[in-house]
Amino acid sequence: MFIKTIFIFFGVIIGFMSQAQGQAQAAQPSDFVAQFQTQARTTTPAFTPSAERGRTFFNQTHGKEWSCSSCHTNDPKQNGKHASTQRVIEAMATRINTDRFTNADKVEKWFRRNCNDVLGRICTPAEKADVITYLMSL
Amino acid sequence: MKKNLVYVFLSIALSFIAVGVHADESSHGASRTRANNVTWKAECGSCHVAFPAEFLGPKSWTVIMTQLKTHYGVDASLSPDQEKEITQFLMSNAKGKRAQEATKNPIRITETAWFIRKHDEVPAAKWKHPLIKTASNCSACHTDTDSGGYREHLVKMPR
Repeated sequence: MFIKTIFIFFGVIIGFMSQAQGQAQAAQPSDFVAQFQTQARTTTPAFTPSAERGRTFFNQTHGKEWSCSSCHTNDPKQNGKHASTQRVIEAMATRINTDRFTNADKVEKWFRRNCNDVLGRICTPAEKADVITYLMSL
Repeated sequence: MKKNLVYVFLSIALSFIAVGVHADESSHGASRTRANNVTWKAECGSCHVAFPAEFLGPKSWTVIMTQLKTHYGVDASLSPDQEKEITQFLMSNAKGKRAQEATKNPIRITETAWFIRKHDEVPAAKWKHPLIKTASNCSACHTDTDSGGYREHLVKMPR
């Protein structure tokens, strides 16, 4: 009887684990700041995220045509617009749009794509921590 | 012992059924008129209208899907799983008269013969309207792009 219960228990656990894998991981914007800060500190131990540095980074161009603000505007509390397709992009400020920075897959995807478009390279953990801190400060 | 294994199997199966029902719910309410795929709609539709698979031929989709890292000047790279799923969806639904490839540039819907013919009454200046700007901005005039309709009587050009 005891062994049977154990078997059923593990069966259910395995089933639920496979379900959880297919779903988005729920997270908070501050979780990502903490994660990128930890990564940044492996090379710069004194690193502390800065909203001000994030603002500058967000509004500057980085050697290519676009800045973050080309699509997201220089007021991320407002909706933006895709610079080439005209598609509306919802606000990035985390207090206005509470969906932002809550899904690890999306955070990875959009930093990967947008850093390539804006900087022609991947962003450093420090840059990502600064930008999210800025978007949380608005 | 055999009975125990049956219990394990049943409980795993039940959990999977629960997942299946959940996934099915999220696909309801989507287009009934055209081929639909949740991943295609979400991923392709996040930067532009999710252009219907029927708008280009299989050769065009193959070219587009193998160059997502430099997708019309933008990085639109996907996870390998998503890329595979969307490619399969596009390939299996690229069909009919619309599958004819553009003569010069197979990766532009706006350069296919059917697109040019369907839009030949639109004045050249209209495409430059601030609310249109680009011919790929389907939803600027077609009010039913979400359902994949693109019906003529539902066209509403900005003035």
